Amino acid sequence: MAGFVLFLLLGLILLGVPVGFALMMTAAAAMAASGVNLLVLPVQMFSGSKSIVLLAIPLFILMGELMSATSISERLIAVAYALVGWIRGGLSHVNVLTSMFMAEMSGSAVADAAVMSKIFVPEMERHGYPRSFAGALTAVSATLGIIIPPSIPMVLYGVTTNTSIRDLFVAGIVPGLILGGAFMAASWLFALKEGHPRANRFEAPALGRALWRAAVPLLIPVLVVGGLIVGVYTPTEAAGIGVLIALAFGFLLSRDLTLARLGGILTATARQTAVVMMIVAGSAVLGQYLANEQLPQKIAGMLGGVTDVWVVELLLINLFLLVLGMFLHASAAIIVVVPLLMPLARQLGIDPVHFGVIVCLNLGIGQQTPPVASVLLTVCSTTGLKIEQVMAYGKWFIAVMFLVLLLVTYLPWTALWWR
Amino acid sequence: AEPIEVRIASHVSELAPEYAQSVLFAKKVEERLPGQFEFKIFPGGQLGKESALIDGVQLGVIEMVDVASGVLKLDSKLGLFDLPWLFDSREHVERAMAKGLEEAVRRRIESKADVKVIGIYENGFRHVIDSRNPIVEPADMAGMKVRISGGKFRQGVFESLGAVPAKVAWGETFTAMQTGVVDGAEAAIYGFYEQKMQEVQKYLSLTKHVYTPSFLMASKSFFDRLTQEQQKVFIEVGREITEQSYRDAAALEDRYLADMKGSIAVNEVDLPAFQQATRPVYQSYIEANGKDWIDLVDAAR
Amino acid sequence: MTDPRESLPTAAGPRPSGGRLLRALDRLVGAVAGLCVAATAVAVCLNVFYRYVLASGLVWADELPGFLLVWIAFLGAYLAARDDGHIAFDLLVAKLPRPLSGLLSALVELSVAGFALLMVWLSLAMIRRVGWREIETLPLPQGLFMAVLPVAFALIALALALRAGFRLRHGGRV
Ligand code: NA
Ligand code: NA
Repeated sequence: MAGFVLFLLLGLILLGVPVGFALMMTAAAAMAASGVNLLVLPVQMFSGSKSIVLLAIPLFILMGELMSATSISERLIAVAYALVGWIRGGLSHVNVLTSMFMAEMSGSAVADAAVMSKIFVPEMERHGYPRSFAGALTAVSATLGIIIPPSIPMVLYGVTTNTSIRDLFVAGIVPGLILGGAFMAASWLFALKEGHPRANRFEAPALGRALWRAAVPLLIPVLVVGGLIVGVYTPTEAAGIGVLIALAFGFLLSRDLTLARLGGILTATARQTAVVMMIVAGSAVLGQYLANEQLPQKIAGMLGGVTDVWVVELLLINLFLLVLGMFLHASAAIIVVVPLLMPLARQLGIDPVHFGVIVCLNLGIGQQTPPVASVLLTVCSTTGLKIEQVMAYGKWFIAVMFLVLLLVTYLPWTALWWR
Repeated sequence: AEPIEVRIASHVSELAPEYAQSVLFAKKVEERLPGQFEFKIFPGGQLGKESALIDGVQLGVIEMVDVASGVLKLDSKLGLFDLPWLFDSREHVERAMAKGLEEAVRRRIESKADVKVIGIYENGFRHVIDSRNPIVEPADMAGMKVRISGGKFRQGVFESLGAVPAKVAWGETFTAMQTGVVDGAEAAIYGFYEQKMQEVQKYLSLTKHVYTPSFLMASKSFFDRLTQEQQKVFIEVGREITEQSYRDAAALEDRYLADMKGSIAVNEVDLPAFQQATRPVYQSYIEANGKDWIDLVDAAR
Repeated sequence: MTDPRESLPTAAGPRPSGGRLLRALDRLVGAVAGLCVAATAVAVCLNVFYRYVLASGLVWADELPGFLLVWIAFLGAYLAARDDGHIAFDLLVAKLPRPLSGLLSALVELSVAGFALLMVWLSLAMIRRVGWREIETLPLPQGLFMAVLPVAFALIALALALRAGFRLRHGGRV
């Protein structure tokens, strides 16, 4: 029966049935076949999607949408120029640093990649960088969006494993900084090798001006993530506060927001939320079937039996997640597969918060690796680059990500230092 | 014949009394009717959240559930169990239940929902754990941000004592305590224990502000499919295990409390003071639902 | 791929306009879903305001937005179904020669539409039997929030059937 379920699910997905509906239809078929009353479908869909914790997802999406609708990104880029533009390979560093700033306000790597590639790829090309290098760097640094808080995959991980989302967010900060630093270091090496120029000179007054203009946008991460860490509000509330500040900024300060535009943004937010939520609802029903059959326990038992050297086991889990990330969307991977891996992680004594960061890093890499590579494809479609062209440089940056992944995996301290 | 599969699902973990009750029920039925049933126990919300289990058992998608306060939303009269400081002690609960309250509640539930109530046992008294100060008398709660669950009744209780009720998801509550989003939380002892809240909080005040029963219920469609003998055994066993269930719940609570006492200060409260301070909350309940059940409880005091 | 926007760049599936009536329906659904998003944001912020400024609880503000999320999710699912924006693995189908891929897509859309109709029936049955139960913090029946399931699944079936019909009319060349 388990084989039949897996076969059906894969078959439906390969035929092009949207993942969320494929999960629901597989569950329906399996339940019908084993004589389960199908009324459980609407009950679980309803109960699985009504969650105050998941509500953080539309709110973080809304916050990101409001950012791109206002001049916030432009002001942040100016700060990045003033801070790191003077280093060799200046524009690369500006690109990475801007991604890190944006990452603090956005929960989605794809969203970041769409915005950043439109801005940075033409700009870097004008200054003599190979277009494919610019595309590759933009794609990988967008991953920072799901490692540096807030992060939608972390919300999903928190909900599926019953781990505190606030803790996951805090745990993502240092690995995110390491990853950003590693991208900059790699860019610097490329700059030496290929002779990329500096972007500008360091000038303190220019930095001051840029910081002043970006004061409110920079305040958003301080208030949202800072308030969450200090403990003024829950993750969902933090997202709500972020929306509030972004609204105030757009309507009162930068004045590039109108009520009519807001309407469109709200609708777009609902649509994007739904894309994730259908997978949540689908896995709520398939999860019900799997629980009935007590499959998670059985699978964990199988995986756990392979080896008992934890270093090896951890490496195997990482490789498994990496392969998974090649073929599966991050949200689907988290919701469907993580519950199966969780008992194993516990068995190995891995902290669930640490494991959440490991999972997100893996899936961040997965977003870069074809065939299913949301971020890479987003960059390709906005820049007109071909996958092979981006991968010519992309493979080196992916190697950097893999090194950071190993570092974070085997040094839990990087994620859990604040405990 | 093939044994009939019976899933008993609960929204709370293996540490909760509900799990012990489900296991006990399964064991006793097995003794009386060996080989006729295959019981599978699903604690910890594996088959869904409490509200999904309550909907599911009515729709017949699950055979049996052992759930708690979610049942009280089936009818406003069941809101009795949301009234603050209604019961003085477990013994008081047992007396009131034995003297007709259980029968009345059982009939009420069965008249409202497509379920067969097999037994009404204990989820437990709810208490307050916090980091600010021990709660001994009503004034100690003033301004305290307390994570609560449940509906407007419980909210009213905490507000009338000057506390600030906040509904934080249970999974976020531990962190919310660490960071100070809330000063404390109210729950049953096993809830605190399971989350190891004694490690981040300082005071456990045995406020006993609310008593929540647990309800072992079978879906009507499943129950109707059983033979008369099987139905009889289900009902008899359901009643038989009542006393044992209260003893089990008491033993669990004692064990958890003893374990927690090393890391947290535990104190009793001035019960009559709280009962007096919150009696006005009863008025709106009585207006809507009558006084008969309250009289039953008072008579058993 | 991950997350919300991942479908944006690839959301290039055919979108049969279906005339004025359907566009009005899109706008109506979009407006209701957008309002729900706004309402959740307001409720969540109000809750913080009550806790810190007024030092009191706004207990429904922790339950109601969760229910509104169901509305957002399922109405939004119709919007995403309209422009073929749900996360799907379309590489294999895209590799097939044109009329075949179009016909296969139509078949997939029709089967999902059929499933959606089954869901309409099932969720109506659920609401009829347990929709009356009140939610925890407000005297509102949960059926009010469950109602989005049959509505949205009917809409999704409509959107998918229309697109399948569009593909079939063009002999699978879309
Ligand atoms: Na982020
Ligand atoms: Na991938």
